Amino acid sequence: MDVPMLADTKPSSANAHESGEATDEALVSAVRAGRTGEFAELVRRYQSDVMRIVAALLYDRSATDDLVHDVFVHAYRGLETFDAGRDFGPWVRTIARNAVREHLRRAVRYRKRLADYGDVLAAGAGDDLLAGETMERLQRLLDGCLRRMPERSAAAVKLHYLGGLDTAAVAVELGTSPGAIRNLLCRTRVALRHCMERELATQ
Amino acid sequence: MNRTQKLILDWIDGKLPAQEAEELERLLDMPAVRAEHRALCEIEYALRCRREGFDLSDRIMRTLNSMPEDARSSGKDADIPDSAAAIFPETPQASAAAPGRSDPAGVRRFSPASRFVRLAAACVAVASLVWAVWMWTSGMHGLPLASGARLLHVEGDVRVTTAGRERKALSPQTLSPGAHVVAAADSLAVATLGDGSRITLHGGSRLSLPAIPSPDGLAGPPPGFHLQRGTVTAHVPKRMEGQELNISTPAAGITVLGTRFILAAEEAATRLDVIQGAVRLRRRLDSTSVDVPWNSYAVADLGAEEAMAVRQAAPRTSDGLLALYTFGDADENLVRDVSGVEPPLDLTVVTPEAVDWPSGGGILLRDAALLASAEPAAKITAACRESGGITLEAWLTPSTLRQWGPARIVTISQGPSYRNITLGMGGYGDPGAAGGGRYLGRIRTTVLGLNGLPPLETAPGSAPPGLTHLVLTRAPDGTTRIYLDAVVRAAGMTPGDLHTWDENYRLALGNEFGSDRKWFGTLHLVALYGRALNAEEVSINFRAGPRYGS
Repeated sequence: MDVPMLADTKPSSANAHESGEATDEALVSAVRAGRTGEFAELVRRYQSDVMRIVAALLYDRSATDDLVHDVFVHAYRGLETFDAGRDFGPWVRTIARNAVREHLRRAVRYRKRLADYGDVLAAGAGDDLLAGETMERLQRLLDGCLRRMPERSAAAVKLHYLGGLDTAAVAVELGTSPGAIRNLLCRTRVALRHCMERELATQ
Repeated sequence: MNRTQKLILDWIDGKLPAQEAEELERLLDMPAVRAEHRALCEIEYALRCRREGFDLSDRIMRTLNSMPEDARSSGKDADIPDSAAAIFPETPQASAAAPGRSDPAGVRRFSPASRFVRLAAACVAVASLVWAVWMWTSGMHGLPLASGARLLHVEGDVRVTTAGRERKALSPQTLSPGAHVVAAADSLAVATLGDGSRITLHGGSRLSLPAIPSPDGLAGPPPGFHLQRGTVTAHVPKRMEGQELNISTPAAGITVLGTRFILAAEEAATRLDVIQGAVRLRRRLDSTSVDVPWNSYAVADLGAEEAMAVRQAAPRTSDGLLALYTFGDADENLVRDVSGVEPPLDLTVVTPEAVDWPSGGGILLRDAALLASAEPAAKITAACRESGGITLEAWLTPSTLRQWGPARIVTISQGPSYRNITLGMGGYGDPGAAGGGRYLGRIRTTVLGLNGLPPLETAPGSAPPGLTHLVLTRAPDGTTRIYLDAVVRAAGMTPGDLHTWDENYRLALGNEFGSDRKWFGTLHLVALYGRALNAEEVSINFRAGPRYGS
């Protein structure tokens, strides 16, 4: 008799509206009732949002994964404090932003000013950048500019960012040294920045 | 690139020394530097958000399942670090006293807000129970309950209709009982039925999930689906007698106990091709049934007068075959090329301690196994240089979908960066990193260089679990495709020609020469052709199944 509990709630998320699947509120209720497995669906729905917030601040990919993991574990453990009348998405995103701030606060290598900038970006990642339109525009610009990059630059970006290769592995793939790849990635990002600026100016 | 940009990018990359961090801090007093910093951070952010195949749900759920049952409480328990106290958003409940906290005497006390929430939750639970009992007793059908079925992946125009409302399909997306899934021409949808069964809905197909409750009225709708038109490829895990998967079409009913098959339905006829196991096909016309074994097919035709017959699948394509390995008769760690094409290119099991020979056939590569030809793959290289085309085909069962390297399945190469062609699996970097769960092909051409980059890749997560038919083809005009279970899952161009292929490179299975790019799993059959098989030929080889000549 657990299943109807999931369906007998007004959908609240866009996905739930579109597909008739269980709403966030129903999933939260099910987890609170002891059906821990339903939390997996909440993870699947919001892990990309959380990853984007965390990825904005952390360079190291395994550290990013660890922090995303911790955010959801914290969310699960704090589920009793969640106001069932609110949306789950903003709640878990706020946890993510706070977790990033905590992480940066503890990271001694970040100096205060730089950590402050991290705060600004973390907040932005949850609000402006993540808010669909801005992110889509950014990605469109990036797409166009990536296509204009030299083949080797584009290959390095793809291997590093999409494929997850570190600079040493990219160097092996492209037959050069890690130092050369680091320089290539730096030059390519600056070139992307100028390209996107030009595109914005013409729009 | 000026020094300021270099400092900012080093900071983004986490490589800025302390002394230079001070310099950057001073520079950030200037508005222009702050703008530069912000712009580069945004670009970095946009690039990182392109990460593919991100899914931590399994890992997170493993953590939650290992936690004690009472771990979920206020979120501020003793075993959450103190710093986590700042993590939770301010909510009426959070700012009030933490609910459920024990006082020194061990008596649990709840704040008024907490009591209200618990009372409301109890009311919801009671209302839900009443609703559920009412629904069970009144026999209501078709409400959007969770069916356990999920869309895992969609390509092209796929639509889902639930409760009369048609929407563009999402992936992943839960499918409700009674949902209709329609894949337009040249589109594709991969779904799981919630019991481990995995189906691929081909373009031009329409499928419906049952809306009625299961016979016992408790466990959701019965497993199965209705294929109104089109084609599905299905992999159904073994089931117990009495728990069959039931599929219907306009012309037939199909009962499945666990197998791999292709089902193609039109209004008046249904064709069933069985790749593995056996499936019962029942014709609606006269309710007669036939059991269709592997490597066979049968057609249920509403207009037919004769009895249904089971026919042998068409033989595998042999035109252009250069080498064939079926792993049927290992002889002193030698895997023989049984193509019949001279000279045979036999493979030596270089690491016999790392392989097993399963009783069901094939060779299990379980620990950095390498099978390699003693001689260069000259007959293959020469034929492909001449024709400009090639096909690598493998029937395989990966031990895990999270392989990396990419892991080498079939390769003609001389190390990790020099190849003629490689068929691989997984992403780059660490095991389990992004990009896993997919197949890829790298082909050296006069344009793509010695390493064959960039590769042609299927989408992350596209590799199905279990027995899989994997084919990489490259035509003389550069058209390159990867088929999974006879469905094109990646297509692109590999410009240039194959005249730079090195005739000294050897053939290897399961790993790379002189490097650690091991693939884990069972190889059932591997074939190499000196031309690109077309879609029909790939389909014929798929329908013929993994067991050759047995």
